[in-house]
Amino acid sequence: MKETLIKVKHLVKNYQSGHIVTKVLKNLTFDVYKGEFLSVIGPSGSGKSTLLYQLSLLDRPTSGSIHYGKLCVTDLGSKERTALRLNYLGYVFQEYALLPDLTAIENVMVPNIMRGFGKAVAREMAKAALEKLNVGHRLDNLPGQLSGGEQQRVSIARAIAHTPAILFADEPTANLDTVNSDQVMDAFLDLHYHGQTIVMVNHEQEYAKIGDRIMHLLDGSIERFEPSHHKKR
Amino acid sequence: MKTFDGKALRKNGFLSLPRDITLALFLAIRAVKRASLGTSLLIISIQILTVLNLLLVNGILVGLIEGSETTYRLSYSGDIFISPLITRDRVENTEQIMNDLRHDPDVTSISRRYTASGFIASVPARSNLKDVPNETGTTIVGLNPANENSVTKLDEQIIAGRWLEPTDTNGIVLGNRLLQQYFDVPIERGILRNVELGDKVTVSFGTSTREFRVIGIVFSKIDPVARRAYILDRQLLALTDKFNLNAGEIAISLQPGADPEAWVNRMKAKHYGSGASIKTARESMGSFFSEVTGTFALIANIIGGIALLVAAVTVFIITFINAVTRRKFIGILKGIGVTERSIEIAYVLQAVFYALVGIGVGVAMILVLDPYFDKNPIDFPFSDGILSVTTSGILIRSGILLAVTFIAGYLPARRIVHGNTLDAILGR
Repeated sequence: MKETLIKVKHLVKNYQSGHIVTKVLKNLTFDVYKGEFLSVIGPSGSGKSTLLYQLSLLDRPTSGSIHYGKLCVTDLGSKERTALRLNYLGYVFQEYALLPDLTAIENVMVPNIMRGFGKAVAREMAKAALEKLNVGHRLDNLPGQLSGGEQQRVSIARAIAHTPAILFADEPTANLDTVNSDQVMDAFLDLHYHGQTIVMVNHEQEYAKIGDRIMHLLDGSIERFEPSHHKKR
Repeated sequence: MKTFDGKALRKNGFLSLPRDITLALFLAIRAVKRASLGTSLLIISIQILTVLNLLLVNGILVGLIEGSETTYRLSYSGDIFISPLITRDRVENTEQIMNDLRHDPDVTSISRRYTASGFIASVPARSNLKDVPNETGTTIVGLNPANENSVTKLDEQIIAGRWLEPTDTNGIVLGNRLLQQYFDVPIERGILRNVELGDKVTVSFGTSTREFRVIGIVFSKIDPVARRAYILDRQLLALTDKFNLNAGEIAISLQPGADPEAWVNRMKAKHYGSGASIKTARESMGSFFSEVTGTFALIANIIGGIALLVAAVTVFIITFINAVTRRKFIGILKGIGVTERSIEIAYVLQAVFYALVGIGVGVAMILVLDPYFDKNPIDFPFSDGILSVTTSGILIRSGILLAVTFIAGYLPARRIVHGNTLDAILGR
């Protein structure tokens, strides 16, 4: 039986600007299962990224609830949400989101130092994660000295260095060429193959298909779920 | 698989200070190492200038007064100054006091001076009756040159000729402010004009007049020294009241480390205070001096306060701009689970680092300038200005600057860091 990792119930997100209320997410209810690779696709403005922000605790929903296992995360305070993001979640941002003052390995070390690991241990963990993502030869380069694909792989290494319970990715190939996009998607596939739960927003149907399930969003509502026929490695 | 544990999360939120500091140090060190050299130099320069403003301006203003006090003590009053009561013109019981002083272990040297008001005139005082007389009224001091040198070292302040010797029965040393060529004021009366070394002058006390030859000119910025004339004590007594051996004033040097105030109190306890005014050097300078000292200290504090304000605003602006331009990265740090406190500490550590470098360089400059000013004092009209800096003064002012920098670094960082995480990441 599938184990539910994230349980979303009647999730609503509205944005208000003056008197105008924009309903971005409309009463979403669904589950994400342990070890699943869920792709979320939809046209621009459908609410994909907003959904990811709610799931990954970067934003608070207007109403509804999100449970991680038995823990309701919707009502957690800001310190608890930060601690949850640090210890249980990994996040791959659209534009790499690396810290420009830090080298590749230092970028990956940051969350592990925050988790309480000594610098030497954090460095070993970071090195292992970067080597896993095939950027082990770029440890001491600053982000500005890396290609887009390399930067995104460093970003993935930072997200997975602590083996998170859930890995969120927001259009990770949006700014990459085909070669780099393929490399990045290969990295995600490899992580999934080793049991990583992944929720990925993608604008490209082709890459969305590598997930186990595809959630089609339209105007803030779930249009349908589509099982993927992509073969796991 | 990791289980989501609410209690552990709350515990984590409160027990992470050491981790916050460790990561903050990690981030701050790298931010400083990889910061723009120009920006770093600008911030450090501002901190150095603030330190100099706090220590140098204050040190010069206070040093100006201290220099004045030191000169007064070393060239006029000694550590202790005994003068007549306001209703008398001599120090009562001088012999008894002198006898006590000679046996006092704290006293190293004594100069007993006789003083009298008189007139000094050039010879001749005027060529014809229409001329303004070339004369001045002043205090004539009769002293023992050797004793005087042991207290005030006036011999080292001679700028022309030489100091008195015990055989100079006809010699007189004039203070520089009695002579127009050494005291550039546009007056004709009350100052000696064109009187040079070797010239003859007459000294008159009432009906007694005697001729002396100018053997030396003593230079001082202290008025009681610069406006006096000096002859041997026995000559003065011969011209005035030769039977009254009570002194006009007594200047006393104490052993190094002796407490002048305690010494004065001890003397007063012996009831010498009933026949003479016994004061420390500072007390003898009068309340005006204390008021000037207080005023200068106030001015120094106002200038220092403005400097601190400027430094605080500068650090605030620089930290604010630094945080605003890195708002997105602050958002990302928060997004990946770095605590707000850790990010704030990182910014504060950067500001404090620049302050420490600035303070270090500024204090080093002060420590170099301090002995330089001692050897090359600033030539103020009424004092030789030295740099007055004390270890406690340096520590207090450096501490204040550090505290101000801490606050000025913390406030803008806090403001940016506490913003919405998602808005920061998305740049909206």
